[in-house]
Amino acid sequence: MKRTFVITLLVVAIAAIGFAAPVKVTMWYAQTGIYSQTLLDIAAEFNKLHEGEIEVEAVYTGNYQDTMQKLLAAMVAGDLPTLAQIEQSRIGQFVDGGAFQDLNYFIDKDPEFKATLDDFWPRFIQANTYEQGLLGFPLNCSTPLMYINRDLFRQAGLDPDNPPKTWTEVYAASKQIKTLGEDIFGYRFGKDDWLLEAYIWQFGGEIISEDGRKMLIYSPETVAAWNFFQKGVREGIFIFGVSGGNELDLSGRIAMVVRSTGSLGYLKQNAKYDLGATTMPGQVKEVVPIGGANVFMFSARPQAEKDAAWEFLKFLTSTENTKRWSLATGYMTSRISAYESPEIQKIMTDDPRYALTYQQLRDCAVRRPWYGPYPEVHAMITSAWEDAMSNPTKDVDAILKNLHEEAQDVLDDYYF
Amino acid sequence: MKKILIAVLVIVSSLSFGQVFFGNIHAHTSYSDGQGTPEEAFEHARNSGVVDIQAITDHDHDLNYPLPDGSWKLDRIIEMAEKYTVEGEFIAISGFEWTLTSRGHITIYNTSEWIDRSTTDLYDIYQWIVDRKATAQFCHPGKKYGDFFDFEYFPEVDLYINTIEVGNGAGANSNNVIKDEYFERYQRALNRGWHVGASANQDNHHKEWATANDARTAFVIDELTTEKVSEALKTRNIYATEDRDAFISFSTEGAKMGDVLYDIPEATLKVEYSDPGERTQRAYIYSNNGVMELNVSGDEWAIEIDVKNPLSYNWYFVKIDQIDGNEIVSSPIWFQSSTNKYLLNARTIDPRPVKGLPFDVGFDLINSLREDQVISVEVRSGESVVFTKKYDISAMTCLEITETFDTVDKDLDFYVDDELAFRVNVDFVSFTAHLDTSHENYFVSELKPLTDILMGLGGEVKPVIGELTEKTTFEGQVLILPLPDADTFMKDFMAISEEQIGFIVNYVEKGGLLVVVLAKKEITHPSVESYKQLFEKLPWSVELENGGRSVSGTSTGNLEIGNGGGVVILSWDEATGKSTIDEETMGFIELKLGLK
Repeated sequence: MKRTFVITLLVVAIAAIGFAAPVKVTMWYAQTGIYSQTLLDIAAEFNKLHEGEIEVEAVYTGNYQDTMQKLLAAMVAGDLPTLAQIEQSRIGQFVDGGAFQDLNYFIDKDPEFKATLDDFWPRFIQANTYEQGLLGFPLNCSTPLMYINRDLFRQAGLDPDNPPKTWTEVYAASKQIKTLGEDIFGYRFGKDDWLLEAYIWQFGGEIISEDGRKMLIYSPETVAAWNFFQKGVREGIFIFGVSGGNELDLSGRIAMVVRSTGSLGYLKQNAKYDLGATTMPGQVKEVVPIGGANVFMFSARPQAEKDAAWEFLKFLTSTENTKRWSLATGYMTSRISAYESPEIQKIMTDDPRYALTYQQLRDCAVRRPWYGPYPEVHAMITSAWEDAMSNPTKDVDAILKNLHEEAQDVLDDYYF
Repeated sequence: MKKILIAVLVIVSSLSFGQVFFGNIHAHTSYSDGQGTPEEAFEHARNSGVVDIQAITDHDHDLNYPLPDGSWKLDRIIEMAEKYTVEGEFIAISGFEWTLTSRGHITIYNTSEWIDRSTTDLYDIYQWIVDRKATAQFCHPGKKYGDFFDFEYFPEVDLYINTIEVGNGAGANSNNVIKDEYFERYQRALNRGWHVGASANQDNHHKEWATANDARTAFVIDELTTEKVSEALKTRNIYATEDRDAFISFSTEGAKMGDVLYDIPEATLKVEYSDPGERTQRAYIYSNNGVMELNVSGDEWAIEIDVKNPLSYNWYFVKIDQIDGNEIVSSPIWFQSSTNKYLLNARTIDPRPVKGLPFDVGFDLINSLREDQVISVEVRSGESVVFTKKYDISAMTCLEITETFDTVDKDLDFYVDDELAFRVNVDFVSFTAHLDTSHENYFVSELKPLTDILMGLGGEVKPVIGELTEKTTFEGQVLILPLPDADTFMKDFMAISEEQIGFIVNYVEKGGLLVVVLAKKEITHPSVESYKQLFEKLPWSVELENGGRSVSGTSTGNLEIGNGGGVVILSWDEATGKSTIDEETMGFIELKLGLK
């Protein structure tokens, strides 16, 4: 992969803005359905409040991957939007190219806002902090939970109120559950990239060095992690598949599965078994990735536009709006004050499963890898994983060794 | 085991064309997860010129959200169906799809209300359909979305669910919508007692209603009216086709496809085919009594087949493969006993029971009459009666029965009130062996030589996947216990538990044969102690040595327990075929299994 050069354009500020022309802020976003609707509602409300001054236009630019690709093209062409919703593992090339605005610039000039900064969940702020400063604000964030078919647990003589806390316990429980029938499986998994990262970390492995330049994936820890999941598949107590996950999870034949906290509503509505949820298991470590996306501002835009975008960012991440977003979409709130609001608290009182993700966020959630070449590297990881899991007699050690070497070449190429 | 349908007489007959109209009765719009509006959909289908009938069946849970003007989506679909229907030219149908994945999806037609999956499970939607006497269809049956609890049968619901998709899909440039899985489930539904006809629909989610491919549901009706179309959906006078305009007819005296006839021991089935330019590759008659290939060719033909109806419940349908790969599947014709007492789905619960031991047999007893009936079941094998029992079955009920049989006869003929209802051919094995894999001893491929030897003795070897339980152990006559792999990275799982030691010893004392396969590599892990403990608890003085690689205290490696079972010890090399198992040991195994 070739390194992408960022051309910093000389932006000619157009000073002569007529008094009636509002400043236009463009935001590219990557989700449809209720997510899109909620974002558009918030933008419309903002526009009403700032009529004649600021006009935010939110534009759907395809899924996470498409949006990243469009932004990369726009960065080269010099026609970036003011703001964009970008998924965590896809921001590397923008960070490396210095494309993002350090939001501390605005925060420092905005004492009123600054005073509320510690109202954001600290791990969200941490996850958006890079060498260049605070580059993004959390929008749609989640952590993975382990969902449990409590009926299967009971039938297998296991206690659904004491679900497995480690992968070894998942394996042991899966053996028990397997005695219920040929078609029943203890644990289901696929190739979701953020969960692959979680598995590796939980077994004590690492993917890439802190500076993003060295692959660390070929280690005894990662080999153990991959061997563990492969063994479960080989022995028939886990099931691996790259499609049909929803159908399997609803089938009542899966005892445990790890999915986004955002799946809770969907599973509640559709699953006709006693649905339980718990925190994601650990092994050597307890750690989960923060999934989802953040909103970033592009530094190359004119100052007036960025000032206007800042106003919108504050509005979007205000207690009221992050609460509204969370209520509508099921994603986590970005702010503690929103979490503490009676509406969100009620959800958790009514169904304590909704509180688990916040517990994980406080305890052990970390940022996903984000380096420039990471999208390509994680595609390689995913394909190696698929190879090892769909051919469960293949040698994991050899697969990982090979992956490590090939991925290192990608890093070397990028940073040459 | 392939059963062959017996044809008594085959005659080439002359064609007599009937009338057929084509439809697509499963499709979506933006009212759920599709595109466009019902108005656009009906307009598109009507103007397409390729179908005469189109239904819109958006998902139940999406209908809960009103349209921007406050009106309900289903009301609008109904309104549009009325608006776009032109009697004699185009029939638009309203409906919705109940979408509970894992149970199965059901399209329901012509109701003025809907219900969603979050408040209903399968039995609830069945009741809802019965209460409204609605017309409904099983959609894309299979593992992915569900097969309705393996088509558990309810006589009352059977009156209202009258069609099943053997074809489903809007694959562009592909007419291959009749998939093996749907086709297999179609026959499964028929075998459970459902009276369902075959449809093929596009299940469109894009703006290409009826035009995505050539999949069609053909309606065998003489006039294109709302009434006739609705009637055909109830009477199953339809067939599924991947060809856009193939004509087929499947009939017998006094009936056409979809119909049920009573008390007819012999019948002449007539199949007709016409699709100018599209020759037939192969044609078959499928029946619960077997499959028969028809000796036909060309793009226009007719054939008559005389069949005997051996059972009190018989169904037949036609499948035609065209030269271009397109398939056509008819709805069945049923020949049933008018007693309304049926025995279906008889089978041994263990697909391969052990000869000489009692085994469980399951069957469904159906009372399709609106009054309680006594159903007396007699099972004969040749001249001898091996089982007899009377069952009180309530009106409109299907009961799933399991009984234990104690016979070594292979051919079991089930009679209901002296009518032959079902035949089962039992696939006996001489013994069942369980191969433990749950103690870091997953050696399924390495131990294939041992498995082959046991299969050569007429036995079946089943790997134990998951925990080794007492129940599993006692269900077999042999337990193979390989010692664990010394190199495993999950050493905590190597040991056998005290509970397992207890029931293994008990199993051997009660007559089981334990085959211990010694370690592949010396075990230094403390878990080897648990295996030593097992050896100590067995009534002998043999000890495990050398980290599980060898034993002391026996010359033969075989232990016979008076009145009980035995133990055989095989080295890793013997079990994996690197060295031969001596004759004495083989003789001992055969003796213990009663094969000698």
